[in-house]
Amino acid sequence: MSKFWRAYVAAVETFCFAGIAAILFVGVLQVFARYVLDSSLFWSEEFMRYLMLWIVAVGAGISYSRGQFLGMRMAVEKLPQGMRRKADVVAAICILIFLGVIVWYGIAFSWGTRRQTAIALGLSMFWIHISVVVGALLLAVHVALNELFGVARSSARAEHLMGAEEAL
Amino acid sequence: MIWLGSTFLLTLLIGMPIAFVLGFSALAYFVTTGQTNFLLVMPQRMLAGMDMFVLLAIPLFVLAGSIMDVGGLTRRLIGFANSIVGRFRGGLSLTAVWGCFLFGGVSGSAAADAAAIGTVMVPDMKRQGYDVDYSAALIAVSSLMAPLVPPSIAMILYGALSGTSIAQLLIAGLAPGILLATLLSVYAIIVARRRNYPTAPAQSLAEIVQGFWKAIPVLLLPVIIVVGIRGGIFTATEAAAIAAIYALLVATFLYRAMTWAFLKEAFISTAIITSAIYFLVAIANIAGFIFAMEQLPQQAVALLTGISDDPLVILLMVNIILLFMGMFLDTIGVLILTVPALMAIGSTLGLDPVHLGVMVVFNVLVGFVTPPVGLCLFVIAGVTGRPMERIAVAALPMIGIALIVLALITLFPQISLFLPELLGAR
Amino acid sequence: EPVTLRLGHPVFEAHPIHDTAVRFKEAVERISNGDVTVEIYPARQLGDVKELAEGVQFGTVDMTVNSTSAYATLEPAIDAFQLPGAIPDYEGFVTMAKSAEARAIMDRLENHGMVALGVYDGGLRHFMTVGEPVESLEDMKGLKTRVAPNRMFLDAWSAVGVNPTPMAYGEVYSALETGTLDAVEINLTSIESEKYYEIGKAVTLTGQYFWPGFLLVNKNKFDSLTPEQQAAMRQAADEIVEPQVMAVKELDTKVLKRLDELGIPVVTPSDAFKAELAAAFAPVVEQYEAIDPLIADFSAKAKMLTPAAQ
Ligand code: NA
Ligand code: NA
Repeated sequence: MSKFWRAYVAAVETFCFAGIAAILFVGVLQVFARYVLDSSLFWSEEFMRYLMLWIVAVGAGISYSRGQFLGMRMAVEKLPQGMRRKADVVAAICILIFLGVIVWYGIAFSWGTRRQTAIALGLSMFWIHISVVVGALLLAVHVALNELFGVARSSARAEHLMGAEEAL
Repeated sequence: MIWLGSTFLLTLLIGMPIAFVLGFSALAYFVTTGQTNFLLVMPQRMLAGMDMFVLLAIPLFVLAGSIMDVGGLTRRLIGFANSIVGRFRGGLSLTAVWGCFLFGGVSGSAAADAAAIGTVMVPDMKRQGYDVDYSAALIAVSSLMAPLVPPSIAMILYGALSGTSIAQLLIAGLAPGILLATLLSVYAIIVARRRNYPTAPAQSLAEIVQGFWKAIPVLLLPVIIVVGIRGGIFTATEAAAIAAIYALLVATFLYRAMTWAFLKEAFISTAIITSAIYFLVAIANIAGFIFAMEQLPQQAVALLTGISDDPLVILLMVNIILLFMGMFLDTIGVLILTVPALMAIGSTLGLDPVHLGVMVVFNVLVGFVTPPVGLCLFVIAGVTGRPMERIAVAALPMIGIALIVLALITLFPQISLFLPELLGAR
Repeated sequence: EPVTLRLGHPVFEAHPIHDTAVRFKEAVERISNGDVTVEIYPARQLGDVKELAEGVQFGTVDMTVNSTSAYATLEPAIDAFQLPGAIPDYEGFVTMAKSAEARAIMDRLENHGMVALGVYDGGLRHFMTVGEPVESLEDMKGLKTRVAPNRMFLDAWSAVGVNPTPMAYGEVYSALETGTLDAVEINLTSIESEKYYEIGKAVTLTGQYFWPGFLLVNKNKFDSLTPEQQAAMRQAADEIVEPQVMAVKELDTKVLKRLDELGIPVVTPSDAFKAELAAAFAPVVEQYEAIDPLIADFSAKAKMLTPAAQ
């Protein structure tokens, strides 16, 4: 299990690294092509947008485990241990229900839009839209493992107390 | 609607992450109103919310900031600030304020600013006899300048959520940032006189030039952003990519501080932080759909204009509501919940969208330093090891100063708008 | 059993697309004696172009008025409505909008769960520059020009020799203003509504293509209506075509007057320039005519139009 988990984390990190690098490279290339070469790229903007959707999908689970999804913990922290645990389980179940709905309807949506094509890249929009399903599935796995089974919490969590707000 | 509200409050209270609070509440709304045919809208709206080119500035500015934060960058900025303001009474506290300001020029993030400047400055200030809670509070409030000075991720987010020009918002935040820095400096000097805090020896012109020279590669980053956008070389979004590549080149070839391990970590954590923000934006787009269907923004306008027809009274009420929400909710959450209604209020009152944007962003940023939930308070408490309540108490007069700045930018739109106008960005 | 339909569209209330929605609402409520009512949700409240397109397809939005180009990847024949240089003027657009050739293309959307009740106009597209006025094909060469994201436009503008630049619509104003872009192909009403006159230096009335919008209703929703209600909707959709399109023409006249007041030069292209443009577009038009017989039919019919002015 832990070997499998490490491989999964490594794969996610590699994808995120390559993805951000690609966005940086193409973003600079887009400026260079238009301003220096006088020949604008027509695919770059679409490529970056859709790649970012996939980075979010792949990274969201780990992001959750690293404590980037901030909530209002004031009230819960004041509860006794047992009650707090119950509140966390209820919260986790609500999250899993929500993510389940996203997965179910995300599949329906992706399938229903398969005949749309990405204008510049030419591939079926199914491959873009299905990213939300992958993201919700990975999040669900992380939420279930962290909150229901108490495993797979990233050791880096303490260093990442701040959450998504960190970027503001 | 009752179901929506109570689900929201209940899930919020049991500590569920705000993104899921909103998502689950939306689900409860569709189910309890019998509109299950709209469940399909949820993944659709999530994708559409994230599929915006301007949002790409977020990962790229996060990346630029984290790369710039290696190789002794913070020390260089502080050294330069100290060479100019250190000679005054309470010189070190002034250095902290203007160090935060300069750091804001490379980072779009208040939390990063508080962490970076706090780590370096608080021990120095403590050594020179400054009260630690006071030092921590001063840096926490000063760090609000980072999202005001370009680059600014908060401004990008507001622009993306509201459809306001991001290029104009970025430039419009600068003057309020300088105003905040100036008023905080005045306060710091008064405190220093009263408590007899020391001054640093005045530095010669040669030393100032040397400090400036060392800091130049860093100070150039915001200049490149503004000049590049104004000069028609790149758009506000593309500026983020240019900033990141510039940071990468400076860190690698000039400072020679870039290691493979650091680079990898910077890219990966950029993806991870951005994932969480994008997820919030995605959920915001579901919330926006429900707000539109229920005509909530129009109701909010009707409610406020029913109380008074004086634009200033309405703006005062808006500011108070935002400040109250900012005490308990995180900044992105406040923006998500209020932007649709704010846009409706803005167009009813005929407000300039850029002015409104600066006012709103400044307001929600104040939430970073107000207890009980204040990100910059958390960060600086972590850095200094002091209890958050003590820092919050020490911060109170400075929060008052921030509120004065908020009142000024609310009353005088020109504070925000003159720079975009001067630079011809309007 | 009276029915209320929710109509979402992506533009502000000054735009011709909103006018289409309002005219339809008025007409259908009148014809059906209030049996069919329409609630309009303007300005992207229910989603942007793509979301509305999908929304009507899935039935999460009952109706929309939405750019035809948003459906071009779903049914390539839809590019026919915007073949460069095909329709000479607004009168011609009315004729084509009511033609059997247009109907044949619109009926294809039923394969995707939508009924297209009609096609209307958002404004003839022209060429606005932030530099020198464009008076010949030579002047256009290499200009960084914002082009709406669509394959055919990209092909057409590449053939002309500009540097076609896709850009998110929200960034276009700033980009023109700072010189990141040199030009934009746009309709006159948007120059007014988006305040492009603040930054534009000149407008050349190239009139390359229209910016049509479909009035669409979800097919299941439409099929669930009574025959009388359906007939009322069809009738309302038909009767508003001409007044809607002519209202856009009138709006153009107003904008031209306003541009004149603002001292922004408006260039009417010479016959030689027009011929150059047409020659540049010709191979692209041929290429797209070959894609689908419905495009070829539409184009053939359009070629028989004579400009109303002559
Ligand atoms: Na900044
Ligand atoms: Na707060």
